[in-house]
Amino acid sequence: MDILVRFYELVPVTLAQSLIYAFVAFGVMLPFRLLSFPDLTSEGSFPIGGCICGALIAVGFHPALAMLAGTLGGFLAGTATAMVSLKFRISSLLAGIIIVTMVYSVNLRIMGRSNIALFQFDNIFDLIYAGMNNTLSLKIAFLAILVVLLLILAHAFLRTEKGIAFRAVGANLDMAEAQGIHSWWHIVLGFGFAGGFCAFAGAMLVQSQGFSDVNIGFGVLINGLAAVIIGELITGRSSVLRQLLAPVIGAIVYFQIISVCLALGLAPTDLKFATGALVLLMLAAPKLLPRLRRGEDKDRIRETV
Amino acid sequence: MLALTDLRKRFFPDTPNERVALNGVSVTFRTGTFCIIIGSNGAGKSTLLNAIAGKFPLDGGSIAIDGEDITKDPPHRRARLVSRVFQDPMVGTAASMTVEENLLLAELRAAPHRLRWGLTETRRNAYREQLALLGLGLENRLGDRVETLSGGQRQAVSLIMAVMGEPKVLLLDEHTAALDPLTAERVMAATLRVVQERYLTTLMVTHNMQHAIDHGDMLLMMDAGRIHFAASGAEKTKLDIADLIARFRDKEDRILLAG
Repeated sequence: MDILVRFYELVPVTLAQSLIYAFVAFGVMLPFRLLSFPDLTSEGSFPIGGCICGALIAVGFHPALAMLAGTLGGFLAGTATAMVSLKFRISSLLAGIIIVTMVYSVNLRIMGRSNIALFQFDNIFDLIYAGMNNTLSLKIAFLAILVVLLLILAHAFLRTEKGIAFRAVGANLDMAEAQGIHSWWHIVLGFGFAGGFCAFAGAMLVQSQGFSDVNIGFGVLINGLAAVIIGELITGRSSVLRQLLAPVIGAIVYFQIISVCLALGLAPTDLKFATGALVLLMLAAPKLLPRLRRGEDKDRIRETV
Repeated sequence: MLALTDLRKRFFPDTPNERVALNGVSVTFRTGTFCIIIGSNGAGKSTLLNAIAGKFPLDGGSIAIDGEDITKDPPHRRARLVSRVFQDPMVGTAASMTVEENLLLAELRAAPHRLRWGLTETRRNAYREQLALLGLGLENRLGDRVETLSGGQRQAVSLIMAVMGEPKVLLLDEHTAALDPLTAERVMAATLRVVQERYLTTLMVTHNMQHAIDHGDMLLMMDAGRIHFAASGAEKTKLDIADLIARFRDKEDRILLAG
């Protein structure tokens, strides 16, 4: 009973947090699934968004302007990864690691120190509706509106001529080029937008928690990846809409799972191991499942793989 | 008109693996020519098509379509002039996208992609009509993913895609080789129909000697990156399979003599 109560109390906080991380999960899904290029830049674009936003708010900028600048920073980090990867023909994973490493120093430069407290400054939540940052229900509603807006815009875009061309780059690169699509731009802008979404989440998070820290990005990629994979398990990938919903639903479910683990008494320090194990298990499931269910409905399993 | 002038390409230059793939190919195809390209494996047939499609930079030579030099254009810029059907139906289509989305991409090959709805009812109706001409029942599957189609259906979609967007040059790279005989005949019949209808300059690589004899108004036999033998017009009409086999032999004898 005690555990249930503890978990129940955490649900709203976790929900607010997961709606912010939904943007990260979306930014992880975009290059990974829509462009078929794995990308690690979220580990750098998320904190650069938080650091730029935090630093600017601390020197008196309007929070909306600070968020815009932060988002732009993530956008640039994303495009940098794509350009390094395409120009020098380095794997996108390695390019991402290089950019993330460099961004860490940039973030320290921007902030001037490793963390900045933001409690005494106005943040975007309170500017939109006074007291929102301390009223969880309002905050959740506001974040939910943002997420729904993102989904509507993304889904509409992917049905335009430009959006269909964008998906073709991810579906079959050679074919896309043979159909006159300049894949370079699509990949660079796709990575840019992915970085922008992650940075936007970073900027939201630092305002929500009231401080900015250079280390907020640590492990954010694995959270995003876990959310995408869990989400896809629920929604499947049979349509564009399902593919777009996956990271959002996944983020909400994933953070509740984490919350259960914490309520059960898992030490926060063991969280990274647990998340890693969860992702590993999910990825290994297609290999493990047929063996566990040998002889039973094999074809159906193969189809879902 | 497609004019190829002294095309040259070496792969892995200055290494022990160096291979001369194109060794000075010069040939001009008048608009509306249907040219069959034959030759043994490694003769340079596919390399020639890849060169025209812009898959790699050439070491030398130039390519011009209707007087416009496209030698330095990357593949996506040439796409407005050149389209292609591959042997493997997987290569020419986006498997995870629907039939109508693939057709839309082909339709926009030469046009800018705009920020407006892609699949309108007008477009869907036009696609349905085009697919119905094939007689494969594809007109009812516009919304299905291409990966759910059979190999022959996919290849038929590739072909329809290749002739959309009004290309000047159509490249067919053994496009019926991976199909069962009946489907291959259907796709071949559809090919001949669209090529004639649209008066396309077409280059078709094939290993099927019967196709080489039956179709086309020009024939090139390639060997070691060069044009070994060319025939067109009445000369092409007179050829039979025995002649072609003899030409292949001819080459083998030369290799024996050289050895």
